[in-house]
Parts: sequence; C-alpha cells; structure tokens
Amino acid sequence: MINKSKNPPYVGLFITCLVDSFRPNIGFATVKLLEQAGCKLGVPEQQTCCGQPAFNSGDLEDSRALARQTIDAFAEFDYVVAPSGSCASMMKKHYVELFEEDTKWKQKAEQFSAKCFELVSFLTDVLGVEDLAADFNHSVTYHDSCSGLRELGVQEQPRQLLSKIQGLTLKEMKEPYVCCGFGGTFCVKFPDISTRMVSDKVENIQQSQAEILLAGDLGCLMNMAGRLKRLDSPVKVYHVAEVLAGMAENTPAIGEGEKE
Amino acid sequence: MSKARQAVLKNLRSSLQRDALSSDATAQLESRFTQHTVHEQPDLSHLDLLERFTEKLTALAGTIESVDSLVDVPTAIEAFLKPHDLVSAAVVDKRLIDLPWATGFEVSCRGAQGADKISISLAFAGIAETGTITLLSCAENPVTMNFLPDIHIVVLHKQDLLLHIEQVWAKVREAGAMPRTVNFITGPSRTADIEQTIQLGAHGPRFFHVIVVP
Amino acid sequence: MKSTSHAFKQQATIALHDERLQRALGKAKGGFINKRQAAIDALPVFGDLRKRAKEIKNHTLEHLDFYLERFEQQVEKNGGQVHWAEKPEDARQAIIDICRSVDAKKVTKGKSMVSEEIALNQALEEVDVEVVETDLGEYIIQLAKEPPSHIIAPAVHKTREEISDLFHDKHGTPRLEEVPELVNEARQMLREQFISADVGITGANFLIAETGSTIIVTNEGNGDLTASLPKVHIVITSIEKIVPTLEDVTTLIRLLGRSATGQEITSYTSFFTGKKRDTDIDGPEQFHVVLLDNGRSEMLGNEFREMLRCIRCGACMNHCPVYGSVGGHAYGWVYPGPMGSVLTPLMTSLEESSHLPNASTFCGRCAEVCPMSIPLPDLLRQHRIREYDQGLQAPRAKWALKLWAFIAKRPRLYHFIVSKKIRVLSWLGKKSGRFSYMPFATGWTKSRDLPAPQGETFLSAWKKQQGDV
Repeated sequence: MINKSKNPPYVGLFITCLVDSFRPNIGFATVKLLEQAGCKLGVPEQQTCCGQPAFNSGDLEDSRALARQTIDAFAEFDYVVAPSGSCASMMKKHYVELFEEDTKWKQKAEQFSAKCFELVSFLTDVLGVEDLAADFNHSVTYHDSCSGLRELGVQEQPRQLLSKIQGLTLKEMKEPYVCCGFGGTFCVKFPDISTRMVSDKVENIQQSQAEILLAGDLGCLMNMAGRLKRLDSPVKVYHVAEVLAGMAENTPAIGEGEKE
Repeated sequence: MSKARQAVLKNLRSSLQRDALSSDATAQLESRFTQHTVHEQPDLSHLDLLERFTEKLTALAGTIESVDSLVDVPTAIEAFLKPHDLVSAAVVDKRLIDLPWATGFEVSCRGAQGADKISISLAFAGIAETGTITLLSCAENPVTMNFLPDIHIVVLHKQDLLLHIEQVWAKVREAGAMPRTVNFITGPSRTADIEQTIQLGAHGPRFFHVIVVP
Repeated sequence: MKSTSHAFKQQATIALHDERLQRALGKAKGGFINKRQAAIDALPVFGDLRKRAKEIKNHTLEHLDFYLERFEQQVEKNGGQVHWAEKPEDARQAIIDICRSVDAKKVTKGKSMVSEEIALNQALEEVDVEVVETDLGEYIIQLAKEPPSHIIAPAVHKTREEISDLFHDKHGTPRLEEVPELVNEARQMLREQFISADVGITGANFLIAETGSTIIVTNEGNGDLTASLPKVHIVITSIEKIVPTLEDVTTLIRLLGRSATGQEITSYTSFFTGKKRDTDIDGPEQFHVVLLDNGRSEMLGNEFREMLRCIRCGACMNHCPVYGSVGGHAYGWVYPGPMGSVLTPLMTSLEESSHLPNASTFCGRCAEVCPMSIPLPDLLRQHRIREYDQGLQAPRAKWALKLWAFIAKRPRLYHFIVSKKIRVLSWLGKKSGRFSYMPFATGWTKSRDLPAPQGETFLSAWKKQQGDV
C-alpha cells in the first residue's frame, strides 16, 4: 500500500488496443478512477499493443519487439495500469519470460513487471481504495476473466468495490470463473467450440437474472455481448470500470446503439 | 533388448547433460533408500483409530464389527452370512483354520477358484487414515482369495490397526522383504464406468466385511 | 493407434452436434469436478502434498537413469525381467516374444494407456493372440470397436442406452436397462476369461525403484485378477513413472485418487514385486516389465520436461471447457484434453496434430487443478512457438498477425491507420451499435454480433483533450 501523503503516484495508462479502438469510454472511466484516487496520470503515445497476440501465436521475435517498445514507452512512470487482466498479465508475468537469454532486457522486464497492474486490483491493493462515490441502481453479475483471475489473482477486488456502489445488487452467476470462449484468436480459429462456450456462459448469465453483465476485460465483454445480442437478450454489458466511475448510465452498453 | 537399454540410458544422460553418475553421487542417492523419509501427512493424530477406520471403511460400503476374541469369529461370520443364503463353504487363511468352525461349515486352505463364494483372510494391517485393509500374498493367504469370491471377510487384530499408510511400509520392512503382492483393499469392488453411476461388485468381491479382534 | 488429430476441427464440430455425446459429457463433468473439490476441501495438507510431489518428481527426473537402473536391479532380484523399449515397435515385439515363448492363446488386459500408445491389441491380434479387455470401460469400447475418450473413464462418452444396445447386440443376451444388471452381465462374461487367460497384461500407475515394484490403482478388481491368475504377468509402462521410495509413492497416491475421481483411496491399490515366491500358492511364474521411452528421454532435455511429472489423473481434461464441449475422440489419438494436446505432437508429430495446441484459450484451469503443478498452457504455447518456427501455421492467419505486429511496432503508423479504420467502422455501426456480419470475421459473426466501435480512438480523443487543456 502506498503512502499517499508523499508525492502522488505517477501512473502510466496502458490503454490496450481493444479499449483504444472499440470503447474509449472505458479509458476515460479508468482515468477518472485513477485521478479520483489521487494519481497523476500520463498516457504515452508510443504504446500500441502489449504483444500478447504475437506471443500466443508463437512469434517470439515480434513479442519481444513490442515488449521492448512498451517497456521503453512507460519508462518514466511509477506504475503502469491497464483496464484489462490479460494485457496486464502479459506485461506482468510474461515479459520476463521473453528475455531469459538477455540480461539487460531481463532486468528491465523485471523492473517493469513490478510496476504493472490490472486496474481494479491496483485501486484496492495498491491505492487502498475502499469506497467509491458512485451509484448504480441495477442488478449486476460479474464474469471473472481468465488471465486476471488465474494469473493475477483478481477475484475479490471487483466484488469488494461493487459492493460499495449505492443501489447495486450483485447476483452471482453459476461458475463465473469458467472461460467465456474468447481466447484471442481462438474464437475465430475454432468458432464452433467458442460459440458453445459463450452459449454456456450466456445461459449462466441469464439464469442469474441480473440486468447487467460486468467484467474487467473488453475481449470477453465483446464476446459475451455479441452472443447476448444475437440471442436478443435484454442484458446490458459494461466494463466494470465504467460502473465504478459512474460512467455507465449515459453511454450505450457494449454492442448497443444510441437508441437502446 | 540390451541395445534398447543402452540407447535409452544414453538418451537420458544426453538430456541430463552428463555421464553416468559417479559412485559418490550414487552413494548419496542410495541414502534415500535407507532413510525412508516420511513426507507430509493428513493430521489425524487426535482421532480414535478404530472410529476413524470404521468411518472410512463404511463410507465406501465396507461393513465392520468387533468381537471379544478370535474364538468368536466363526459365530460372527455365520451371523453375517445368514442373509446371503449361500453354500456354507469358504476358503480360509491357514492361520485361521484352527478356529472353532461350525460342523456344517466347510473350510479349505488353498487358492480360490471361480466357484468359491466366500473367503476369510487374516489382515497384515489396517490403515485408519483411509479405512484400508492390507494383505500380503503368502502361503497362508494366496492372492486369489482376495479377488475371486463374492464375499471377502477379513479378520483384523486391533493392535495391527495403524494410523497412516507409511506405517504399513515400516511394518513390511520389519517383516522382511516385499512379497509378490501387497493389496490395499478399501471396501468392495466398484465401477462408475456406466454413466458415472457407482455400482458395487464389478469384478472383485461384492461384499467386504471386517471383523476386529483384540 | 492411428492418429486422426489432423481432423480435430471436423471431429469437434461433429461432437458438438452429437446429442448423445453431449448428454454423456454433461453428466460426467459435474461429477468429476465436484467430487475432486470435495476431496480437496477435506484435506488441509493438499497444498503441501502438491509441493512435495513436484519436488519428488523433479528429483527423480534429474536422476532418472539412476532410478531406472536401480528399479531394474530390484525387479531382477525378485525373479522378474525388465525389457527396455526405445520405440513402440520395440515394446510390441518384446510382448509378442514373451507371449510366443509360452504359446499364449489368450491375454487378459487391465487398463493401460501406454498399451494404446503402442497399439498393442492390434499387434497381438495380428499374431493370433486373443486380447480381452477386462476394465469395464475398456471392455465396452472394445466391443464397440472404439478408442478410449478419457484416460480414466474410457467409455465416458457412452450413454447407458448405448451400452444396453451394445451388450444386447454383442452378448446375444436379452436387452438390459439398469446399471446393476449391465455390470453384472459384464462380470459373468469376463469371469471365465480371467481364469482361462495364459498371459495377463497390466499397466502401472507408478514404479518404485527401492523395491522394484509396480503399482496399479483401481476400483474394479480386474487389474488384480489379470495380474494374479495367469502364469505370466507383463507390465507395460513408461520410464517416467518411476518414483524412488515407498514413502515417496505414498504422497503421490494421496494426490492421484483425489484429483482423478475425488476418492481418498481407490478400492484396490496393489503393489506387485517380482514373480510368485516359492512359498506362494498362486501368482505368476513369470514377471516382465516393459519400459517404454517413445520420446520421453528427449523431453527430459527440452522445454517439455515438466510434462514428465504427469501422473495421468485426468483432472486437466475434467476441468477443460474445450474437452468438456467436444469430448476425447475429437482429439484423435490416445491422450485427449490439455495433457493430450501437449503429448500428442511429441509422440506422433506436430504436423499431424497441429490443431491441438491451438484449440485452447489458455484459460489456465488445467494448470490450476493439476496436482503436479504442470504449467500446461505454457507447454501448449511452446508447441505454438515450434509451429511458428517450422512454418506450420495457416498462412492467412500468420500473415494477418504479422501485419498486425508490423503496424503495432510503428506507433505513429498504427495510430493513423487504426483511427481511420475505427472512424469508418463506428460510422457504419452507429445506429445499432453492432454488426451482424463482418467480412474476414465470419467465424465471429456467424453466431455473434460484433459490437461497433464507439467513435474515435481513445488516444485521438485524449490527444484532443490534452490539446484543449
């Protein structure tokens, strides 16, 4: 836990390619949450992709190039925070693996890893945020994205913060920790299996009877929202940051147009 | 196939990036075989051995009773077998042959055969941790007795009831070397291969009954 | 067994639409998962046992040559024989030679995945030796002429109705409906086979170097009848199953049952050491252990070494959402699910089984439940690295990712192209907020809508904001 009486933590926002392209609202919600919690924020321009698609496709060379680019882009910051468990775990857990043979970069990767965090767990575990001045009068169910859960241990923290939101009821779905079937390129390489997995997840979401679905990873959210919409489900899908920052109500949900 | 043996060992050593171990190195490894280090175990020290044994064995469909002495065993067995309505004949552990068997009850000491319905063994040990009976293959209790008949009855001396699995190994080493077969038996035979439904009496005995004597 | 792993995609699609299979898989999954959880909740030292087990196995692997030689010594001391087999054909030949030496006509078998790996049954049948599978699950699939679909429960893909039909058809007996009746009929059918077999072949869950013992962990009793009734007992096993001492193996036994079926201990855990003693009344006169390598000694020296810790519990596949959707046959070879996706490319070829390491979201549940702490997603990724290096990936996918990386390595170009593309897409999708069709992404849009981008990219918006400030 950092001592807030000292200089405000200087946090670099790793926006993630999906949030940057598809839903900047998550980015702005992240900015709001971090500034609210007393951080000084920066958004380096030299960031593009954390390199996970290349890494999971076996392309180590490009992964290393993108890792070096990312590490250098965030050199000046005390912390690097991403509104995504999978990007944060790529940077925190796997960058170091990329440079086993390279002493200089291994060290840089280790230092970088120490300052990388997923957003929600950064708020609770590092900044000690316990309360949020936001309200949301809806029932909500929360999906645990795999990387955040199993690689970074993000599970209690979002539930902790959601419990502090005025008017919000949390309705846990059955097996919230089971994969939704996104898996990056998996969903387009094995669409039939992916569809089965997301359909099972949608059934659990519907059974929970919650109005809103939340999670911490936009890839998962787009996958689940896509299936929900195809099945004409009224469930609305947001990123957990949007609700925590009180920025969900005035924006169309994921996959919805302006009129819905 | 000593060519294969050479090849496999060579591949192993090449993967381990070394030659065969020196005699100093092997001497160190040998000590593992004499130290018999016991690793972490479930903490069950506070439990009553017989209570724990009974709980575990019955949870797995074994049955159990206690009698005052060995001479009471034949009567207990007669009572146990009554509802099963089988032929009064059993293959019996040689060490139990001199018990006062009822005159109508035919006892033999031999390997079990396909037609045998009942066998009666003397346990080498019991393991309270898991509700398990340990049997060693020997002239007195051939292995087939443990698997061919429909009903397997085992007499266990209370003093042979141990707490943890590892204690059996200490007892085996005390008794000499490993026999051809050491059987750990916990209840009757079972299978779940049809729709995950547990069914007792797959190929081994359908009933497993333990009689505890002092 | 001949591999059909190259057809994983088609096999998976068929499996997804197979109603009977889906019913069977649904029943099995919950059982395995819940039982394992209950067993682990009841064992506070589980975490410690896991750590210790990893240590024991790593130590053993580091000295595998020593422990194998010691095992061999002990087997021989107890009147047994060890046969080393580099490749499957060596193992098959060793077993055929032993069968020939005793003029064997009939062999009973306990369940052995290694025997599937070397395609033993077919080889024996080709030399006119009758092979009788005695494990109920293996017996069922032998009748159905199918391969196993799970390493612990080989017939998990079959419903009760299918088994009723099968027994009625193959046994020529009246059709039975209830599980007890079916099990009883199998018991009757196999009794005589156990007794009349010339040779009994089992696998081994573990091998103990200290005593030269082989272990089977079972519930049915068929393994024991197979090992004890015939004059010859052959154990077909592999080199990484060795464990140093009786105490070491006890730790692993505590993990195996719980991880596989949620049992603290199985009905029968049996330790076989050599042939029958002079004082024994029954038991085999010959004891043979066939030690198979088949690529394991190579794994010891490369990035797949950790896979050698596997104790074949099946927990990974029980918890895998992909295995849970398609079942074991889709994987096309002996070992399915996560562990199968690591092993199959190593034991067959990466080319033949290239789909397998890719059919994973890396959700990590397998690694989470693995009692031996094997980092399965990392090992699958190692295969993807090999595929990339060997040029085995589908060209379109590979070049799409290469293009992505090319642009991503050039931030200015990236932001330029992406913001343009996003502007177009968001304009196209503004009203409904989603696309029900997207060229080049039909894999997605066939069953899902694609959410439209909100507007401009975050970085453009941010830059503008900062410019205003």
